[in-house]
Parts: sequence; structure tokens; C-alpha cells
Amino acid sequence: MALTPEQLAQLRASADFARGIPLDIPNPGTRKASREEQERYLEARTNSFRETGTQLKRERDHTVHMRHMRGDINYKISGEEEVRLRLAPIFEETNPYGSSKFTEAQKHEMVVKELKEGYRDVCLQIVEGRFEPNHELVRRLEAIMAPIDLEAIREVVMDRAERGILNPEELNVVLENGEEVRLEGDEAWAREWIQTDPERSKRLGLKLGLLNRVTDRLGGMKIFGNPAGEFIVSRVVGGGTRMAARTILSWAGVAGFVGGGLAGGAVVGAGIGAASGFAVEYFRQLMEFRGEVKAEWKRAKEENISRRAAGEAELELRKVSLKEKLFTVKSKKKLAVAAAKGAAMGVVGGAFSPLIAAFLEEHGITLDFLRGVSGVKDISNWAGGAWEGAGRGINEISGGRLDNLDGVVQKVGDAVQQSETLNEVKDELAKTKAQLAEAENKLQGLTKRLGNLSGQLNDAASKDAGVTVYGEHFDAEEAKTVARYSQAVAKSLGVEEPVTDSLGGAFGDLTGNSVELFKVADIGDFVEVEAGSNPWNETDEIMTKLFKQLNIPKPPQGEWNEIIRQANPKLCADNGYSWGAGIPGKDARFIPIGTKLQITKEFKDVALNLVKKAA
Amino acid sequence: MNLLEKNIDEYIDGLVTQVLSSPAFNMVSLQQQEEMNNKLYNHFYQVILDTTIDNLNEEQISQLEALDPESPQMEEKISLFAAQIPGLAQVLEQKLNEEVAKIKQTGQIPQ
Repeated sequence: MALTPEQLAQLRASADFARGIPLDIPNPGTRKASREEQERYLEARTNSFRETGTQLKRERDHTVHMRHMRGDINYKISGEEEVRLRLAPIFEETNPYGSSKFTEAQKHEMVVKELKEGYRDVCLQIVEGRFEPNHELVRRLEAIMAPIDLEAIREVVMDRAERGILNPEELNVVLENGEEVRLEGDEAWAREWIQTDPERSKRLGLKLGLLNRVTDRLGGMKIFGNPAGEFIVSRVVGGGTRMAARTILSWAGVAGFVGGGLAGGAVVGAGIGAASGFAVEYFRQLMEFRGEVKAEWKRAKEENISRRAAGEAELELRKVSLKEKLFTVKSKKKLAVAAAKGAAMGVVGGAFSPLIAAFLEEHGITLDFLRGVSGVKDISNWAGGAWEGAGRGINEISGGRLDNLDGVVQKVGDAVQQSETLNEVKDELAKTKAQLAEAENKLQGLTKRLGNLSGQLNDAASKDAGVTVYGEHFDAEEAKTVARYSQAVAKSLGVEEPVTDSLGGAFGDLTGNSVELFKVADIGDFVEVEAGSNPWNETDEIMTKLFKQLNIPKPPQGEWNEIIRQANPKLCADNGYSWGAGIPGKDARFIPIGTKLQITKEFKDVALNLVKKAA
Repeated sequence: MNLLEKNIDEYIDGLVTQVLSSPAFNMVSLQQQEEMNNKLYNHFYQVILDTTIDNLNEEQISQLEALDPESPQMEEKISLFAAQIPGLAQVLEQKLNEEVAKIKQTGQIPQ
């Protein structure tokens, strides 16, 4: 339906108003204005733009202020003047003739290059969700008019993702949550913006409620306007983003270029012009690209998940077919026993390897030698691991193995026979009784080391296993298992003495072990810091002995820990070590393994005092 | 047979005895008992093997796949890999104990 002349006049008046033209000045384009009218119009326009200039500055200051307030002042892109200032020292460089080294064209090129780099960096930040485009940015970008090199940005973003610098999940968060934050920010910003200049508000006919509505609707890039028809902003060409739209709005408001079309939804006014169109288009591209990046990551992630799932499923299938293959095997028993044996050896190997390694090392038998004579390539699993594994718990080192030990020992013996250089070792090994006694001593040493483990064995539970142990951390079944394995290892080591009297004590029989330890709980005696242990355990043993000697029941665990906590630093300090050693949470290996700590009178006094207190 | 193997045998014997002496197997004849005996051993061996395989990694599986199941190398490799699995002994014992409990409860020996 065609508009009546009155309606047209009203709309035109609205549009003029929106452009910042006083309503009482007729649009010179609609009829021939009088000279006086034209002068009034020009004066009004001039005033309007003068005012606009002031507002622009205020607006820019305000935006920067708001960005500071939001803590996201990460504003890398500079204006041309700033870049020129930055490059000034370079520009001032002179050639041998005393004139500038650079022509004006070269200087300009350098400035543009610098600006473009800054621009590229900002684009990257936008893509990564770390930068919010705003009108100030638009203004600066406008000066550069640099094309977006999306491919270059994509490469950088993807590279960051691949190197784990940029987490796609985080990008999602930035995009999803960040948008909300920004929306709030926009509203607050808009509210303040409009309130800081009531005159502008009045002139543009904006009301706070309306502005809120406008802001709310920007996300959808809808047409926004004054329901009363006082102020109309038409649809932004090509859609875009909330931020871009806000940019347009602020620009339009500031510059007085709102509208340009009426209710029909014409394009953004000519005042916004190509420059802002350029910026809008850039931001639109960037935002779209950000969406693409996100989608690409999502796709890659899903592919990765499905690939991994497929890999796992395939492995499961292979396991099933291997099980089927072994299901019908004739020597199933052999294989099962081999598996069980390996599992058992894994436990004992890990536990005993430090001791065996120490024994071998003491006799000058190196890993290389063992590798050579035994043909066991992964010998370091149990022997090398022994050195490395010192100080670690049994669980960590139980991956070690000892199943080839008997073979190794045999081969060592054979090699010894064939090697003069090893005759000394042979002699030592040949001194059967003495050697066995020494070996047994070593094994007692093992026992003592394993006493560390014993400290973790459950007292009551261990009785079920026929051994006496201290500690609270292992249950009966574990104690039995450990004892059984230790016996087996003793045999595999060729120890002829009753296992329970020697290695039997390894894990379990802490009777002998404890007696040994008790012996050293006198002044002047030494306690040795164990592999896999720390002075805490030694202190524990000493205090256990003292309590036993004085026939005082051991206090509850919490209280007991406190006693050890007090006695242990004293023991260390008396021996010149940091008392931090052995304190839970500190590095227990601070005191080297094998360190002998002497029991001093002072320590004993402290210990006895603690015993008395506990009693 | 070394001591460790003997111990393992005894351990499995113990499991079989435990099952057969449970109320669920009280009423079976001698002949049936012998049959069950074999089934139980077979089952426990299978449990050990399956559990071990379940704990192997891809590389270990690949190596076993390439071997003749009846070969001594297979036995050797299984033992070697089992020794490299931390805590496998405990896992095996737990699994076997669970099986014993299940069989005692249901009176059925899984095929």
C-alpha cells in the first residue's frame, strides 16, 4: 500500500532525525531550500560533526576504559601514527651522505607492513576468541585495509592446536561462555554509553529500554528500532555478528549515520560506508572462520576418539582370538604354569633385584657381563632396575624379573671357569662354605632390606602365614603370597639352608630381622638407611624395640606416628642430616641409601622420653 | 620341576580340592569327581592364561600371535611377559579365588 504524503513526511523526518539532522530543517534534497534554510542546514551539519568528533574521542576513551575494566586490554594493533613513532628510530638512520636511509615510499611500506602484522595478530586473537572486535579496532583497521589471509591464520591456529598451545575445548568455552560474558559487557557498555551523554540519547531518541532491546537483538542481527518510529536502524547487510553489529551501532550513533533506509530494511547508511562495510565483512569472515575452526576440531576430535575406540576394539578381538588359539593347546598346563611363574617372578624379581644387584656389583659383575653370559637382553629389567628402583615401592618395581636367574647364575659360573679375569670371582664362588655364609649374610641383608617391606606387612595377618612381621599395610593373603615367593626365590638362588631361616625372613620372617635390628638400638650402634626406605623405618624399628624392652604397649597408630615424627628428625640431625628426610611428603631419598646413622645418647634420651610420655 | 612350579601346582591342587570338598560337590560319584577334577584344572589353567592375555599390550600380543602355541618359545614368552606385568600375581590369585567362589556357589564348572 502506498504511503500517504503525511506518512512519507513523517518517515523522512524520522530518517533525518536519525541522521542527526534537526527536525525543523527540511531536507534539502526533497525541495529547493531557501538560502537561509541551506545556511541553517550547513551550520547544523557542521555543529553535528563537531559534536560527533568530541563524542568519538569520548567514546574511544570510554571503550578503552571499559576494556581495562574487563581486564582484556590486549590491544596490539596500533594506528599509523603510533607505528610511525615506534619506527622513528629506524627512520632516523642515515646513510653515509647524512640523509635518511629510507625513502618516503619505503617508510610507508614499512609502516603498512607493521600495521598488517599487528592486524594479523588481532585477527588471530579474534579467531581464538581472545579479542573482541570493536569500533576502535574497526577504525584502525580501516586505515590499513589489509586483506585477511585466512589460510595463514588457519595454519597458525592449527599449529597451535597441534602443539597443545591452544586447546579446542578451551576455544569452545571462550566461544560459548565468552559470548555470554560479552553480551553482559555489551549491555553494560551500552547502558553507560547512552547515559554518559544524555544529549546524544535525546538527539537519537534512544531510550535505555530500547537500547537494551537493541542489544538483545543484535545477536540475531535483526532490524532494531524505536517502536514509536522515532528512530530506525535498518538491517545490516550480510548478517555478521553481535560485536560487528554493535560496532555499526556505535559508529552509526556517534557519526550520526543511522538508518539510510526505512522500515523496509534498506542497507546500512552511506555514512557507515565502505570502510565499516569492509570491517563488518572482515569480522563476519573471521567469526565464520572461528566457527569453522571449532567445527574442524570437533570433527578431528571425534575421528580421533573413534580411531582409538577402533584400535581398542581391534586389540580386544586379537586377544580373544589368541585366547581361542590357546584354548585348544595341548600344553595348556605348561603355558598356564609359565604365566603364573612369570607373575610370581615379577614380584620377587622386583623385590629381590636390588639385593642381587648389590651382590653382583660387589663382586664386580657388571650388567654387560651378565648380558653377555646370559643372553638376557632385558636383564636391566631386574638388575639395572634394581639400582634405579632403589627407593621405590614394591609395586613400582615388581615389573622386574628373576626367572632367568638360575640360568644366569649357571652361566656366570660357566663363564667364570672360562675366564681368567674372572677367576677371582670364581674363587670366591668356589669357597663354598664361606661364600655361602657370605651369601647368606647378603641374603640376610636382603632380609633386612625386605624388612622395609615387612614394615608394611600386617602383624596379625602375617602370623597366619607362619611368619612374624610388623606393619599395617599388607593383609594376610599378601603376606602369605610374599612369603611363598620369597621361599621360591631362595630355592632358585640355590640357597640350601632352610628357606624359612634365611630368605624366609625376607618378606615375612621379620623375627630374625627384627632381632637384628634390635641389636643396633643401643647407643653407638648403627642403623642403615635402606634401599626403598628412609630413616623413618629405622626410627620405627628402634622405637618398637624400646617399647618392647620397656614392656609398654605400642600406642595407637596416630600417636605412634607422632612419636616417630619426633624421634626421626632427631636421629637424622644427630648424624648431620636434614631432619626433613623421612618426613612424609619430603624426599625420602635425601639421605643416601646405605648411609649409616649412629644412635647417639641424645637420640636415645629423646626416644626414651617419648616412650615414657607415651606410657 | 623347580620349587616355584611345584608351588604353583600345589596352589592349583589346593583350589581344586577346595572346590570338590565344598557342599555343592558332596554328592558326586568318584567317577564324576575325576571328570570334574580334570575340568577344574583345565578351567583354572584357562583362567590364568586368559587373565594374563587380558593384561598384555599390543606389542606383546603381536609377538605371541606370531608363535606356535605348542612351541617352547610360547611358554618362554608368556613367562617373560607375565613377569613384566606389575601386580599380575595378585590379579591371578584374585581371579582364581573369584572363580573358586563362583563354582562353589553355583556347583557349575564353566566349560
